[in-house]
Amino acid sequence: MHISLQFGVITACLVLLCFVLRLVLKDSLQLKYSLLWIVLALVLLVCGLFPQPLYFISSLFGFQTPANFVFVLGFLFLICIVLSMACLSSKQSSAIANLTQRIALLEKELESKNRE
Amino acid sequence: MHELRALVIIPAFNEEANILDTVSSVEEAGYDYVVINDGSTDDTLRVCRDAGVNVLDLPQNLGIGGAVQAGHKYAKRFGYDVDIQVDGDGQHDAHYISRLLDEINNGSDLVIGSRFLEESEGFKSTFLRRLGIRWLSAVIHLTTHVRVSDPTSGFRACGSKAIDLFCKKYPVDYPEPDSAVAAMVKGLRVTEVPVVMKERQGGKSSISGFSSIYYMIKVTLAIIISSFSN
Repeated sequence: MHISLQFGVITACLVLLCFVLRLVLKDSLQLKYSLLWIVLALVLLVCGLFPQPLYFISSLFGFQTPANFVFVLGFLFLICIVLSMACLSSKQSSAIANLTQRIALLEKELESKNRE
Repeated sequence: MHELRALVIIPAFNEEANILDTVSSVEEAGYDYVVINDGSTDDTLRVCRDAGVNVLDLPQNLGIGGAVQAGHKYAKRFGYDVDIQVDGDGQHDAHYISRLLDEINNGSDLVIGSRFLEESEGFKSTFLRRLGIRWLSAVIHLTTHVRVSDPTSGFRACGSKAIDLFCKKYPVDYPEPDSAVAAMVKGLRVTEVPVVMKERQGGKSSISGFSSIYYMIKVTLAIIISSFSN
């Protein structure tokens, strides 16, 4: 790996790490959801510092270049994250539906109590 | 056998023009009812309140699935044994409610009012829609071995078992075929009775143009998944 590329990767990881931590501090991101990103940043950081094992695993799986290996990993990672986000939003929308129905029913009960 | 307490559920989303007609036809037929105002953006709520109509007001639009489920929860909360879903746009004739109820009394858990059981005059939708309904009917027959001639019909009655089931879980959008399959899979008795429907008096169908393709794919998939869920 070219030294400037290595420098770039390390810088990007540090920026990502700082950014994620800042989001958690500002309460924009729950700690629970930040862990994945922190782990990602750390793994990339290690890969940037010590790329040799990456080359080894990449050729072990038969990738033409280590870059392809990294792309595949990144792609899989993003798919997993997007899927987990879709699950989360489904869960939230049914929770919202539940609450909406509950509010409407409570309002109704209140209304009929007031009438008595 | 004691007389069943029946509730008519009328989901309404932007139905200011028709809702009072629908309500009065249900009232004339002598049933308790509740209008579910599904976060309408027009004057549906005000029109209902002004006329003293019993309305459950959802503070957010949930779509037809969430609205009907709210109706089932209302029925359960206020101790009804049966609930009947009737569209707010005046397509369903309140005279047929008693037919649905008779079938519940005969031991069915979910009764669907079907346009296609008897040769009759009423409104039977366009050719393409009938084709779509045929297809869904075939998918249901293939997955559950039960014949349902009009699975998309929103004119249906639920007994207490079906109410319990639907309070727990009800599909979000285009719920009719999907929920019927869910009921069958849970071992509930699903039957049909012939009804005649009118052409909608106002408002527009939630399914048209491009969304009809989405509808067919989504509902087909939902039926297949529901049929596996036991």
